[in-house]
Amino acid sequence: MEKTQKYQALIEHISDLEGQVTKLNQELNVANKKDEHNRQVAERQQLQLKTLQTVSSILFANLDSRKIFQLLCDTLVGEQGWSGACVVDAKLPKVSVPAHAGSINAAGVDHIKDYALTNTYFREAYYSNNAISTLSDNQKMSLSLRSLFNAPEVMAMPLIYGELQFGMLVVCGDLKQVGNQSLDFLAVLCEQVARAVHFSHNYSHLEQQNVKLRQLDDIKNSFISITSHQLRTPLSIVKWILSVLSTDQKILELPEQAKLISQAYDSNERLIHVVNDLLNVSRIQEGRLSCTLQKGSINDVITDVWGSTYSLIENMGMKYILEIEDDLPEVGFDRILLKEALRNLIDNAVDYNEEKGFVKIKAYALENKVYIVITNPGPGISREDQKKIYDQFFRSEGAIRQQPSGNGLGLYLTKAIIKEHKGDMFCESDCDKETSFTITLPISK
Amino acid sequence: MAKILVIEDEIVLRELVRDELVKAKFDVIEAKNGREGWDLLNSEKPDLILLDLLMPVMNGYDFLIMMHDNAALRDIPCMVISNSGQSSDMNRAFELGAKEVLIKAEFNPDQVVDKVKKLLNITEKNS
Repeated sequence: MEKTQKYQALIEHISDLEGQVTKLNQELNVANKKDEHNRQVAERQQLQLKTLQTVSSILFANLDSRKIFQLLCDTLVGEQGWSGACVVDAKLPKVSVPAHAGSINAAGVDHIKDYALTNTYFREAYYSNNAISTLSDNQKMSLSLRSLFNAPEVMAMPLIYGELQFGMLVVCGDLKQVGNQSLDFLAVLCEQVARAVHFSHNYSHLEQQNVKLRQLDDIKNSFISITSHQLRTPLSIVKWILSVLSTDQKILELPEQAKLISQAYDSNERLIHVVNDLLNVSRIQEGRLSCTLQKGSINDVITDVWGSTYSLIENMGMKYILEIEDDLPEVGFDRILLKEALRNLIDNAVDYNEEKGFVKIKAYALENKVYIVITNPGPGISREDQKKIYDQFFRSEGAIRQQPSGNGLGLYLTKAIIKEHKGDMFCESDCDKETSFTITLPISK
Repeated sequence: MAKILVIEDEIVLRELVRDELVKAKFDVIEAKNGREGWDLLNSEKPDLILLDLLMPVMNGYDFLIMMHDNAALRDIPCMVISNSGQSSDMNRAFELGAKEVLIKAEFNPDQVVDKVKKLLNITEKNS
């Protein structure tokens, strides 16, 4: 009995549900019919969206404004149903053919070029960046446009981006085929096209500048190579001649003459050094200092630098003190550049020294670094100036007084070199105190 | 005594280094460009070559390329003496087979001769 009741209840429930389903189906049918209209509208919009997508994706991959305009005309005729399209560009020279498609052929283009801007309505719209169409209320304008373009319906939309105008898009056709085309859609399309043309102009401008810059770069590089060679050749000749003279037996018997030769040699060495600095600085300014780090011990480098500055320091009547640990652990370094860096510091130590002072070079390894310390007495560097000494061309007042002919590049260059070596550099000094410059280089693993 | 071929277009520099080498009891033959140097290399078979890079007619790079294309000649040690100074130029010389690269403006002629002796000693030790 209970089972039957339950069964009955279930049947009724199913029946109810069936009723609801039928009702829903009916509602659905009504809704479907309403939908049909919306669907057609949606289809239209889909087509417009597809056109936008086609045009956009090619627009931004294309950097030729002529091609962009042509794409616009082709798409409007091919996908949107207009019978003819063209871009009227008042700035285009007479010989250039403006973009055109469909019923607007080459002859049509000539006609448009000759007459469009003589038409009052068209001209006014063109120069005030306004859209016009035959759909407006102004009968006279509509008639005028129809006759000008020889088409039942015409729409013209300016191609503007910001304040830049690239021309006027003109489309002609039969509205029955085109459907309820809106000026709004054309406006969106034209804005995209104008933006793309603007970018394409920027791009070609940038490309031209890039080519010029690369040419300048090549010229600068060969200038550096050639200048380097041309400056160093006569300097080497003088260096070698003076070097040979200074060890000549006859000269060694004439102490005064020998001293003159030695001084000339030192002066020439300084000039070589200045040339090196200038060439290196011009390379840094390009953003690169070609630095090749090779593993090795810097003992040899320090010995070489000592050898080339020994006579300079002796001639100044100063003491040269070396405290170099033997067999310093290996570091990565560029032989030429590291010598330049050390040479700069030693030159400074000599220039900003005191009467019969000294120059001390100390080199040792501590923890995971190799330390090179160059110390000298003299006027010292104030705390204030210590913040600026690595700036290009900076010279403190004290420095200018003591050595009027310095160029302010030595420390700038040295710092750049040490940075390329993944090392560090710092200074300890104060007014009228001893000055120490320390370079640290990481030990190679 | 060892024979040194000096290939250098600047007369003064070539003669100064030649005189230092002669003082150090070396035999010296001279060339003023890569082409002349190549001819002398083949006819004289020196023990070491001092080579400039930037020279007319044939430069040092082309000389190095030709030298190392030749199995009989490529083992002769070659020391480049140049004034270019750019790491890229120096590295190129090493890559083309130079055993040592010196910048003329950094070394005196007697130091160049010391480096020559060092390079030859090493070669002798190896052989």
